[in-house]
Amino acid sequence: MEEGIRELYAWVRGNDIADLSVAPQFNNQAMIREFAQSAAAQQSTLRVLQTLAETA
Amino acid sequence: MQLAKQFRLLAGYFHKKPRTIKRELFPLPWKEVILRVLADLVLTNGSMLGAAVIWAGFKPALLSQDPGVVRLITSGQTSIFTYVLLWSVLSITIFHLHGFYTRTRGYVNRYKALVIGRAVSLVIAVFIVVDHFFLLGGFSRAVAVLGWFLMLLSVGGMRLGKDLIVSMYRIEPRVPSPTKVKRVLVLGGAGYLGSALMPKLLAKGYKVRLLDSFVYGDASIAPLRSHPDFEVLKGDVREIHSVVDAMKDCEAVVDLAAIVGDPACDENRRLATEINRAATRMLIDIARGYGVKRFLFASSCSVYGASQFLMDEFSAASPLSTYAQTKVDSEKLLLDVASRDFYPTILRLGTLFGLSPRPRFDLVVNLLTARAAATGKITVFNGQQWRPFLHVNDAARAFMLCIEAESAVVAGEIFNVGDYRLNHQLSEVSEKVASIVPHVEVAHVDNGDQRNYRVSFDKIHPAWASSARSHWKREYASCTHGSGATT
Repeated sequence: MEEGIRELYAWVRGNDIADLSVAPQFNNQAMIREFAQSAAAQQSTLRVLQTLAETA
Repeated sequence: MQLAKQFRLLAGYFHKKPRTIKRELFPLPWKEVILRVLADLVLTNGSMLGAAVIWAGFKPALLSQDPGVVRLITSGQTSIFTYVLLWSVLSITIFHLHGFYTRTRGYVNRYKALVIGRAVSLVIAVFIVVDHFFLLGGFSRAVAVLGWFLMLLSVGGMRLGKDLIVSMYRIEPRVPSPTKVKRVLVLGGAGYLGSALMPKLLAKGYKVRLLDSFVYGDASIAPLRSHPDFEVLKGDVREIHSVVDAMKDCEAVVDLAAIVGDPACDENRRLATEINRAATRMLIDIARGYGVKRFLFASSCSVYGASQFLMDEFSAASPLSTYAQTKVDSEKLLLDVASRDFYPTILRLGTLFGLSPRPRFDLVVNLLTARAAATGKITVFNGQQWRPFLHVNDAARAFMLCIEAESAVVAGEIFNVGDYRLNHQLSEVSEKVASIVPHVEVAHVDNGDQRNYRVSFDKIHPAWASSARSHWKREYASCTHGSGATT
């Protein structure tokens, strides 16, 4: 694990972003929050089938 | 602590529906559980009866005395049937609370012996206490102690002996026909793990097809785009036509398409359920329709929820979050349809860490390192919880190994992926970060997060494999050092 932390630390130090832990592009929750509000998230074959099944 | 938790669980059943209670009490098939309960009843009663016979054998004079041996053992104040009922109920209840019919099935060696020893000792201790305070203390203490010893031998010996026999004569009923994998479809491969896996697949000479909606962008696959064996399809795993197009002419599927992590799933549970569970059902149908046999599914050790026991692949799943629940559901969907023509393999990954072409900094180790570097201060929530950690490159290598392994070894199997040496408490992780990143201040805060699990890796570890699987052993041994550097 120490090796993994060292490689992370080296990468973080070489990055321009001050705090990577709050950068949305490196955070699944932030990215999914954005995606969930998009039109793409609302449309899918599965969702159409599910809606049809619920209304049938 | 574990018993207290179980009692709280039992108390909570008064507010639950019968179906929920049944599922939580008997996560295993009920016929199997009943057989095991009956076996334990026979062993428990046999042990106590045997203890009485042995005790009487050492005191032959007692047999000729007027009151009779039964009255001498029980003092005649309480019926022998009351005692039989008491130790039967106590043993089954305490055995169940110790997970005899759920979790301990997969425990191994010393840890299993410890759990069995504790349960049997508790049965006798509670029996003596109840007898002393509620049944006038008439039962012979000598017989009780002898019964404890025999119960340890029978209940423990039977289970440990069975494990020994199974390990000596490993039974593998499924022998699927071998299929040479040429083209691998990686679903959701542009993410954290997939972007580490695909270069390895290409380097090994596989043709790789990627289906991804690129929610996290496509920068991670930029270096691969020019590779002649690499094919990119943009699409959503919830779209039938996208999956149908992607699955054509593939011999193996690696399913990494998911909303990963508890907070991300909690952002939109409907979306998480669609992508993580409903899409899996569709993927299975399409894969089987195309005759794709090898299906690797990325699950998570978080399915184990909270437990102080060492959890292995046989331990009952106890998901505490939407994310873990969708993984458990998908695993079940896959294993239910496992056959000679479709053999899924479930890889339960530890908490990933390390760098990949699409980095994440919302994972414990990565997050703490980024915070430490940026602010010089890290906050650890609770700190005492155990987690199995796994380098993202080692996780990728585990998928590689499953694709290359003999199908009979991995077909229809669940593997915990990780290494004992990387089972850490969160406070240990923070100490490691603080020892590497200079001038870091560590703060501890309680937040009520219950997730806590240590995981056994005996199944995937080289020790379990027979010499015939030496390739698997050698490869796996080279990749579980936690740094990913060896890969």
